[in-house]
Amino acid sequence: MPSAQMDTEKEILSFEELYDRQFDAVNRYLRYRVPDVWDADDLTAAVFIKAMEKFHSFRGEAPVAVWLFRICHNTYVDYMRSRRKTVDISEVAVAADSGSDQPEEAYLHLEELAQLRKQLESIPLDYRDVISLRYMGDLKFRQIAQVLGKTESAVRMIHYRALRLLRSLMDRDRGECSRDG
Amino acid sequence: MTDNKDKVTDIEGWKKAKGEKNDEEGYLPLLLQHMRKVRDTVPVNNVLREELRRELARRSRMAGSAAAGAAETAVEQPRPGAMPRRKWLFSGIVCAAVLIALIFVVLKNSVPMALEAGETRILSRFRADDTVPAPTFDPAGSIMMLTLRGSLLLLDETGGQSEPVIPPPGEKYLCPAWSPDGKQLALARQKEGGSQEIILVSLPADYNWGNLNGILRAALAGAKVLQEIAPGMNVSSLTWSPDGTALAYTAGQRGGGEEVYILETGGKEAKSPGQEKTYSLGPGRHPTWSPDVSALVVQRDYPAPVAGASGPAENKEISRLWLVDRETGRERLLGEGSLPSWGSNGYLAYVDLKLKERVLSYLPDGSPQFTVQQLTGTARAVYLGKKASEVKPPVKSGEAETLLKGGQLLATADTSPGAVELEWMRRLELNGVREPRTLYPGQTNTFEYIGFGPDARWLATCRREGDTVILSRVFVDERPLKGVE
Repeated sequence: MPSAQMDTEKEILSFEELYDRQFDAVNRYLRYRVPDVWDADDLTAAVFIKAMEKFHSFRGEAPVAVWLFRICHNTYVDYMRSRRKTVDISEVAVAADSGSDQPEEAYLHLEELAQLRKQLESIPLDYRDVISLRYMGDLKFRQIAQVLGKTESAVRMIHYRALRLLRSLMDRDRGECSRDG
Repeated sequence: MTDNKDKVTDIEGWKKAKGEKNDEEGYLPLLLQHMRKVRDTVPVNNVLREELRRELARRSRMAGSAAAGAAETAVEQPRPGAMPRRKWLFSGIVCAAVLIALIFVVLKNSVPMALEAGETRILSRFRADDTVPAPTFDPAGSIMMLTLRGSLLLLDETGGQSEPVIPPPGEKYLCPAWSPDGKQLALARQKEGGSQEIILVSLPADYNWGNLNGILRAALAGAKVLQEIAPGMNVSSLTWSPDGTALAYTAGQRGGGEEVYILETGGKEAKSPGQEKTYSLGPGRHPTWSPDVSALVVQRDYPAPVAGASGPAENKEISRLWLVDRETGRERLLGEGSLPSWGSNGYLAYVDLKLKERVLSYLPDGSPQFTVQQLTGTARAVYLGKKASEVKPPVKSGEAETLLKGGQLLATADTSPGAVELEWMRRLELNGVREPRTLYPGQTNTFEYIGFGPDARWLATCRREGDTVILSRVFVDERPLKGVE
């Protein structure tokens, strides 16, 4: 694979290392955002093939993760543009281990996670971009800002607003649930 | 209910109490924790990670060797005064190359050759539906087309998909076939009401991966109808003759009474005045053309002889391959096999079904404990030649005369133990069974499609695994025969 390059964190990084470090984040990000897991995997392959072809021209102006996620995010945007459909993430099964020994706790965790995923679909697109890059792509705020071409403070603000909106949506749903009950 | 007071929780009440507690402590940390848990609900494809790593390494190697070649060329600049030595060197290289070529030709004619399988690459996986995905390829072999749930799907060499070409409401596209020159596409169209027709689409010379999707959408609207199919009949296995003058296809009711037809599209006139351009080649399915277009190999299915009462679930049908002359209809039995594909290299690939045993667990003494016996398909290849008239007479093998016995193994439709096997093993272990047992699953584990690519450098295969269909490419190479598997 292509020869080693210098990234901004002052370390030698080969494409193999980049692949090993970032595959999970890229694949998870695309699987989270793309409604069809097969398409998500195809897009993952396309991202890394594109990245390998362009790796020699990477000059280290930004962290290599930012550079890769720019490719990844643009690939996703192109894909969604070609589909011209809304994202439906409900197809991906909620299969998390709640980490709790209590069945009630586990049930509630799963229910809340499913509810949260539903809410995530309804928030504005720029909120979703930030949330997915933060939690699926494991990027820092500074890196998200570089991927999306925004300032770091703007990204932090969007993140804060997204969480606040999610909280109010979940509160509203819980309120409705209590009234129904 | 009173007795169970300590065992039953009122989830709504508990939820409410929990909500109040959260409000007191602040909801944001919990939300952040949940966001991290949402992340854990998205699984990563570990198989893809390894396959893609290999693919990237291969591409990198290819790019590296190309770069090295370019560098060598760049270094070799002509120097004044060095010409006479270079001239001698050049002559020597040419002589050596000619000598090597001669040796190769002599060896090739004297040493028996066989097709050997190389790397297998999974191109894509699809959610399975009731139709068999039979891909077709452009002449360069770089663009693949197949139908999925009635829509046309294009894939590039790495399995990357374009947006499906969806037919008008109530219609379906089936069994596309790219002409050998790449300028035409034949396919079946199922109309509203279920009747089918074979249509022909002309493609411009300058199509490529980027613009083909749009071109297809436009071209399909103006497709020419080649053949109306009788109501109730289904078309499958549409395939062009290597010279691009005729199409062969199967038509019939699914599961019986299928016949192979030839549809002459041009270049050749109907055999006599008044005779239809379409004619039947007799019963059979999955036709494949000989490279010289004078004959076809077709598959015919027969009821299997009744097996022993205590034996495993044998196949209920036996498939045999027949060589049928296109002009005279004269037939020759080639042997048992299915899904034939006659490549431009003269090799016939086919699927051979055999009862295979898989050992799931072993006893302490090393002998098999729980095993699965299942009919499993293997893709094999034998050399028939490029001319149907030169196909050797079959040899006697056991009870039947066959040309297909001992074909070189190219691929196996093996799967890893599935949910059924694991559940069976779990039950045996729970019931304390320790002695050897064998499971005979009813279904056959085989390929649904195999076919050579345009230049016969690889074989495309489709097989089912669970609810998915796996489309792969097996690279093949002709080498001196070492031994038959």
